[in-house]
Amino acid sequence: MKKEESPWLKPELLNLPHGLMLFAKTALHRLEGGLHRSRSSGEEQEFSQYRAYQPGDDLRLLDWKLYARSKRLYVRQAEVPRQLQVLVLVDSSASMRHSSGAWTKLNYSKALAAVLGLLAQRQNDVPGLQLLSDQQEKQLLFSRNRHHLQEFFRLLESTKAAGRWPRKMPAAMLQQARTAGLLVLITDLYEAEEELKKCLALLLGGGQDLLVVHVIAPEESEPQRLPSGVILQDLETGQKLQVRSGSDKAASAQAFAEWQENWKQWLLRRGISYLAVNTGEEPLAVMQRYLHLKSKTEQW
Amino acid sequence: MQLLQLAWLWGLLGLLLPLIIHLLHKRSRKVVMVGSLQAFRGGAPVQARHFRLNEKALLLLRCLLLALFVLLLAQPVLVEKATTEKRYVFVAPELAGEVKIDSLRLAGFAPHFLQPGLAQIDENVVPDTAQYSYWDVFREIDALQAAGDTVWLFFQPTINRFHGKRPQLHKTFEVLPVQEAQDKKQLIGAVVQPEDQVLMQWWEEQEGAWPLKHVSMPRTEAYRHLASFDSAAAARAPDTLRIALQGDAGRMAELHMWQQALQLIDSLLPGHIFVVDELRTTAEQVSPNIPVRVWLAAAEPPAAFFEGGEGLRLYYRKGVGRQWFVRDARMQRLYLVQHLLAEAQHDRVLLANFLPELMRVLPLGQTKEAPPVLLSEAQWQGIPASPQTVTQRETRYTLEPWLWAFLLLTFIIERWLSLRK
Repeated sequence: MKKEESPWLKPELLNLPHGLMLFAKTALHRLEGGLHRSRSSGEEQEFSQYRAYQPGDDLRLLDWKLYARSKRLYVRQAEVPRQLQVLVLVDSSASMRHSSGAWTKLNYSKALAAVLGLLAQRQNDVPGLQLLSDQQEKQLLFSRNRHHLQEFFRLLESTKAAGRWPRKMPAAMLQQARTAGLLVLITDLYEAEEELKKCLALLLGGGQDLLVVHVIAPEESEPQRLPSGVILQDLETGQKLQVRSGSDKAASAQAFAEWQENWKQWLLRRGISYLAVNTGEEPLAVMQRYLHLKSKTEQW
Repeated sequence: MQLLQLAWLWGLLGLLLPLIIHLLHKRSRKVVMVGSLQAFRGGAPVQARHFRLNEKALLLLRCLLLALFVLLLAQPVLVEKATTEKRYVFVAPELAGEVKIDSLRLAGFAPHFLQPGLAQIDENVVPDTAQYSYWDVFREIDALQAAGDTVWLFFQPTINRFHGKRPQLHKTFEVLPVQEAQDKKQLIGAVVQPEDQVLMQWWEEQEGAWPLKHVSMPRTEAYRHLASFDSAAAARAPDTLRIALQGDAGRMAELHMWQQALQLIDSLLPGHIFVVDELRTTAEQVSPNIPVRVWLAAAEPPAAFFEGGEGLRLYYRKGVGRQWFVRDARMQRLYLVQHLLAEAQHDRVLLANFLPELMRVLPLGQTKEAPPVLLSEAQWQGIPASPQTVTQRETRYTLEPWLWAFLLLTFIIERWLSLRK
C-alpha cells in the first residue's frame, strides 16, 4: 500500500453511519499531517508582526530565536483572518448515478464536498450546501450553529441522484451565493449546456470566486476500456448506444476530449477555475491538487 | 463408415472457434449505464430480443458447417462387409487321385470334377469315365454363378478332349500346372503289414531302367521314408506282367475269383501292371512265355498247367476255406498271402490299377458300364503354388456427394438466418 493511501478513504466508508464525516476527517488528517488547528480565532493562525512582550502575554508566543539574536523579548502576533463563506454546490441529477468501479459520481462528489466542508470549518470558514436537481431542492444555509457541520454531513448523506438539472435556480441559493466568498460547483457538466452556462453566469454575477470541479468517469475519458459491442444507456434519457468497434471508441475519446476542452476554455475565459477529477483517482490526490490550485489562486 | 484421412479430424478443434466468438459476443453485449451519451460515438444497438431467437440456431449451424467441412476432408466412405468367395477348381477325373483334395479345401478351393454335372469331389463320388467334351463342361462352368469370374482347372492338356465348337465363354479359366513326375523315385504305395510293419514299393530309375523296389520297415520309419518321395507314380510302371487266364468267361463267379487272383498276384509280385495277355478256355494251350497263369475253373487244372517254364501258377481249389494254392517255392507264404489279402482288401489302389484292364478283357454280361475307379489318397502330388484363393471383396461407397449437398444446404440456411437478424 502506498504511503499516502489510507484504508479509510474507500467508497465503502460512505455507507457507514457518519461515514462522510469520518471520510472527511481522515482525508484532512492525511492532508494536514495530523496537526489539529486550534479553533480559537485571532491567535497564531497566521504570523503578522512582532511586538514587545508585555506582562500577561502567552509565553508560547515568545520568539526565542529573536531573543537569542536581540536579547529582547518579542511575541509573535498573528493576523486575524477574516471569515469566508464557502458554498458547495453538488449536482444531484440522475447522470451522477454513473458508476465506475466502486465509486459513483455522486458518492465521489459527496466525499469531495464533505472534505471541503470540514476543511472550511477547520479554517474558521462557514460551509454551505446546495443540492442541484429538479426533484430535490435541498440546501443548508450559512450558519454559525455548532451543529452546522453535522447538518452539512447529514444533508450530504441523504442526497440521492435523481431528476435533471433545475430549470430555475432556487432563489435561496442565489441569495446565498451572493454572500459567499467561494463557490465550488461539483458536477459532471452533463446538463443542457445553455442552462448550465446561464446558471454559472448568475453565480458569477456577485463577483465570487467560482471553482468548477468536473467529475469524470474513466470510461468517458478512456472509452477504450469499454468492451466492444457494449451497449451504453443514458441515465437521464434512457437512450441507448452501442460502441461497436475500436473506431467508435476512438471517435468517442476524441469527442469527449473536444467537449471537455470546450468547457474548460469557456470557464477559464470567464475567470472560473476548472478542476477535472476522475473517479478512478484517489480522493486524497484530488484534494491535494485542489489545495495546490487554491494556493496558486491565493484565495485564503 | 470409414475415414480415409483420419488426420483431418484434428480440424474439429476448430469447433471451439464459433463457440468462443459466441461467448465473446455475448459477453460484450452488456449494458453500461452512463451519465450522458453526448460524448460517445457508435450505432443503434441491435434488437436484443430478436437476436436471441436466432443466436443459438446460428451457433449450431456454424458448428455444423465446420464439422461437415472437416468430415469432407477426412473422406468418409461406406464399406460393405467383405465377403469371402471360394474359388472353384475343376479337376479332371484322371488326376483326381493325384491332387491333395483336403489341402485344396483348406486353402479355400471348392474342388469339383471337370466333367458334366460338375460334381464336387468327394470320397464317395465316382468320377465319370464316359466320353465327353471339355467344351460342354466349360459351358456348364461358365453358367455357374457361384463360381465367380475366375475358375481354376486341373487337367491333362495332352489328352485332347476339346471336341466340337468352342463356345463363347465369359469367365476366366486359369490352368493349374500338372506336375509331371520327374523324380528318380516314384512311390507306388505303402501297405500295412502285420506286426506294425509297412511294405513300401516304389520304382527307382537306374541307368534308364526302372526296377521295382520294395522294403518292409517299421511304421515309424515308413513315415519318414514316405517324405522322401516327392511325387506319386502314375500307373506307368515300365514293368508289365503278362497274365494268362484260363477259364470260362462271362461268369460273375469267375470274375470274383479273378479279383482275388489279382490281389494275390499283386501281393506276390507287386508293382506290376498286369496285362491280361490271353484268355483261354481251359482246353487251350497257353504260351510258355507268359509267366503268370491263373486257372479260374472250378475243376482241377491239368498237369500241363503247371508245366512250361518258370512263373507263377495260381489255381483255386475248394477245400478248407477258399484258399489259393501256389505250387512253387513260396508255398510257405500261403498264410502270409492270405493275411495280405485280408489286409489289402481296403487297398483300392490295387484294384484301381487292375480293374480297368480287367473290364476290358472281361465283359460283364450285357452291361457296358465302366466299373468305378476307386481313388486312393496314398498317391500324393504336391499342389503347385496356387494364387490367393480367398477373395476379400470390399465395396466402398463414397459419401462425398451427400456431404457436399448437406453442406450447401446448411450454408444457405445459415446465411438466411444471419441476414434476417
